[in-house]
Amino acid sequence: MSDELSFLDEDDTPEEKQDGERWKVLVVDDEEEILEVTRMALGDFSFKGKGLELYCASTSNQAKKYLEEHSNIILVLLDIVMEEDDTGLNMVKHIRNDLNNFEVRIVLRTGQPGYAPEREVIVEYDINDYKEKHELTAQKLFTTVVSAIRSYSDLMEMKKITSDKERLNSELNIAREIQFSVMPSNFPLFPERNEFDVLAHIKPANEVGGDFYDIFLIDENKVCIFVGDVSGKGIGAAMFMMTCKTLLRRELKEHKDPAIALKQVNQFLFEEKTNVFATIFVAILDFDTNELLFSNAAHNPPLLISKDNNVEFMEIPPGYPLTMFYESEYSNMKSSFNKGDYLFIYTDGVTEAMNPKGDLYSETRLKETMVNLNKASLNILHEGLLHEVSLFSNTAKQSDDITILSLKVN
Amino acid sequence: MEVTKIDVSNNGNDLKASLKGKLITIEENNSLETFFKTFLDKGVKKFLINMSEVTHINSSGLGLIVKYFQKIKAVDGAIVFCYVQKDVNELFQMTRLNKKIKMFKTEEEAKEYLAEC
Repeated sequence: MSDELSFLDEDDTPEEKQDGERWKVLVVDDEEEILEVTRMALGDFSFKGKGLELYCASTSNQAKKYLEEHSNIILVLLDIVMEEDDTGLNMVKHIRNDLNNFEVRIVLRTGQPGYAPEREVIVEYDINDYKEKHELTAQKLFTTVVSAIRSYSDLMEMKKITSDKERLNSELNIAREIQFSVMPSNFPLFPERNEFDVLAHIKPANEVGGDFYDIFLIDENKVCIFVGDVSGKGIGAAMFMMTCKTLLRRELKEHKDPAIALKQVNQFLFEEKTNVFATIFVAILDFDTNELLFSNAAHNPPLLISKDNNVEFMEIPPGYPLTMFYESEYSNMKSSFNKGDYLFIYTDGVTEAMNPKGDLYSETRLKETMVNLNKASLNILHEGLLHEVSLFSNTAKQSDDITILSLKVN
Repeated sequence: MEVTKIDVSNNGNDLKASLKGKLITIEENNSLETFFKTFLDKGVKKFLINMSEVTHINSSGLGLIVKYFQKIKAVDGAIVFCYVQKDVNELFQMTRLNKKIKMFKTEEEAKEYLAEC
């Protein structure tokens, strides 16, 4: 398709496409002579290699019919005083309000300016120019049509960009919905299990992001949790996150060993040759013995909160982020939990939440806040923390996903 | 992230630079990426980076460093850090990147190591 045609409506009917090679202009005037003069003046019109398709209407009904049949008329040269003194003005309202056509350029032409003074009309009505008939010499008419074509083309180009953007946004929203639908959110997830409580929240940043978590039983007496953060944002990160989450769940179910699962997933994802990587903390709680087996791929150290409210960052095994190096090895560590102890996992959206001054929420603030928050239930704790972080950020925009997950041994 | 000092020597082969600030946001990452890319394209092989004024790096910042660590390695070059601050150092330990990327307490030690590369 040539440049000149690129703004034409893609929804044109085949019949319209045939005359799509010409600029469509509608002339509305009840004086046959004016129509004839216009026809003659624009007879040899050519711009960007295309001629004119001129439609002439001598009544408002005829004009309406043309407008309904041809959605891509670029310009209407419109007489004001026709059947009624304000026929032309009503036609403007009809085009803009009834047909919702805001693209067609409208130039009013009048021989009796007294009926519709220029100053009032140009302000009141959505028209693009106002001419007295005697002004419109052949040359002026040519100029008027060319400038209408230019401004119509710009409008259509803008409209196309806007609709592309809207379509992309709605696709991103769908991607985001899919992304969230794969993470369990129907809490309590295991109402029949009294041995532990578990709760997770994700507060997404504006774009499709890369935080994820999962919670599932892998045995009669074992619950597995993980929280991860994929670098980057957008569709790429979201797709990587889905793969990573699915693989990790499968490997964990198969090996029941966090370090082995991380190693397997790392090698698989490395072979995919992506440019993104992920940090993940994985843990398996045996709720018969209250032993926690955990491994870590470069994720922020979680917090341990004891039942007497002692809050400490957990000692975690070091490990590369997933997909950075093929040969990455991961190790497990164990920790014994007492009844009433919590494990609190988060992503850096929490500690790197920024206030308008550019200060980070930081690990120190997180730890202090966790000491002071009400822990009547996991829900109250999570809501309290999210509230504190948003108070801190104040008017600053949330730039990263925030994910928090708590596991409490009963 | 700001690159505060740049000193190229040895016929454009060696580069010494000081970084300042945080490596968290996309803008901060972009500015460091531009720095690395520019000098790699100019043919610099050995990068000595003074980290004394770098306060915080997050996982995407780390990803960027690893990306350029690998690119520099691919052209048989080397990158080393010196004066790495506590928080940043902890991140390198936690992610084990301290095993891949050499870090030195002083610029002198870093220089000596690079001279041998």
